[in-house]
Amino acid sequence: MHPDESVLWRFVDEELSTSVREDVARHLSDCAGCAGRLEELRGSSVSITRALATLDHDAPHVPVDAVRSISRARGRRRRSLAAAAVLLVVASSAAAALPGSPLRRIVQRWLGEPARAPASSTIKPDQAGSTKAERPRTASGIAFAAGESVTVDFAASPVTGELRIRFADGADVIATGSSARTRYALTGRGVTVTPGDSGSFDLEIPRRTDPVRVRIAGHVVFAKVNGRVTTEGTRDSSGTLHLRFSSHQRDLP
Amino acid sequence: MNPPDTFEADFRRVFDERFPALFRYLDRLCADPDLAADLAQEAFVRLYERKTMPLEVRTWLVAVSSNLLRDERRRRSRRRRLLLGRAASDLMGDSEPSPDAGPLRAEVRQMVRAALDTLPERDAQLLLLREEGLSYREIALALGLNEVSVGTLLLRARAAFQTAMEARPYAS
Repeated sequence: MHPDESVLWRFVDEELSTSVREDVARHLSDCAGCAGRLEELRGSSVSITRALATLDHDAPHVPVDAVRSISRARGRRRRSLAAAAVLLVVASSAAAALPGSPLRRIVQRWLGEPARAPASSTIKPDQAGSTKAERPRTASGIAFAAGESVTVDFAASPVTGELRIRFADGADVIATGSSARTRYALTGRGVTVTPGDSGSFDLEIPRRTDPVRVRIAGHVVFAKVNGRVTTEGTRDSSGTLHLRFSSHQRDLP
Repeated sequence: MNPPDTFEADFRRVFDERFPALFRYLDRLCADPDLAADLAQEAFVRLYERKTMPLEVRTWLVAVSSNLLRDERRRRSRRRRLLLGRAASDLMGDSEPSPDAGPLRAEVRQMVRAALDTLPERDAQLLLLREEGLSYREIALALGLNEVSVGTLLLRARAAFQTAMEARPYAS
């Protein structure tokens, strides 16, 4: 059986397995027709090589060090751009955190905050999505940029539970609760927390925020005014204040 | 010798061995020696930035530079549509022959160029990569083809190129 042209080209290109190549070579030695065709293909191969060579230009002299230099320069530029991007993010965050900042208002509008929301309270992007003041949440918690002052109101006192308050270096007030049924509503002064049931709450307040008031069922249980903290809670070794909820909540003295 | 030193040495060796061939392949493919030089250099810059040698460095270089050429053609085509209303091939250029080339060689060169330009891009790549000595397996890797089909595709590309050459004067 005569090999087809594809096999003959593979023979020319040395792309046949050893055993097939030997079979084809044996056939070529006995078949003048196939041997002649093979020579034609070899001639074609040489013609193509010669024809394509007419297209060639001299290769430019590119020193290998030039390639290395380009790569290193790009590396430096990428690092500079990355540093600039970090600076931009930091500067933007700082600008957005400043009360009264135009950038802050832009962020508020972008997040769709209701117009009556205080200019000093901005919900984080992960809190956005609803413009309703009352935000039913599957995960209990809310974060918003603190203004100069913050008031946290617990609309009612859980029968049992604990409130933990700590100061942090961030710019946001973060309130989280153990109950998924708790609701959080931004107010002009801060946030109102409506506990769904018993449970514990954590309140993180920016250190620079002053004054701060925390009320449970209308009674002030924590106050920080002019840097002076008044509370019935107890402070642990990490500085976190612990307040037990009581059904008979009363104001601080 | 630590790994970075090994890479530096390997890179220099690969650059010395492969740059001229990569330039030739790209020059034949795009008919623009300046662009071919830029693309070949860029492919080696990217290889250097990898800091490790690919297992199949020759096919890696071809694949990367082919992608770069495709992007460049797309960019120039877009620019053509927006500004000039000229054919993309006009913008890719058809450079003058080397100074030492005589008028006859220039005519042959134009004819070969015209014949090659009649081929679909993939057929031209197949033809040119085979001319650079890539095996069927390497061609398949570089162009993302099935190795089994390379032989048949290459046969057709060669036939089409020869037919295009024979259709022109000076074919003999």
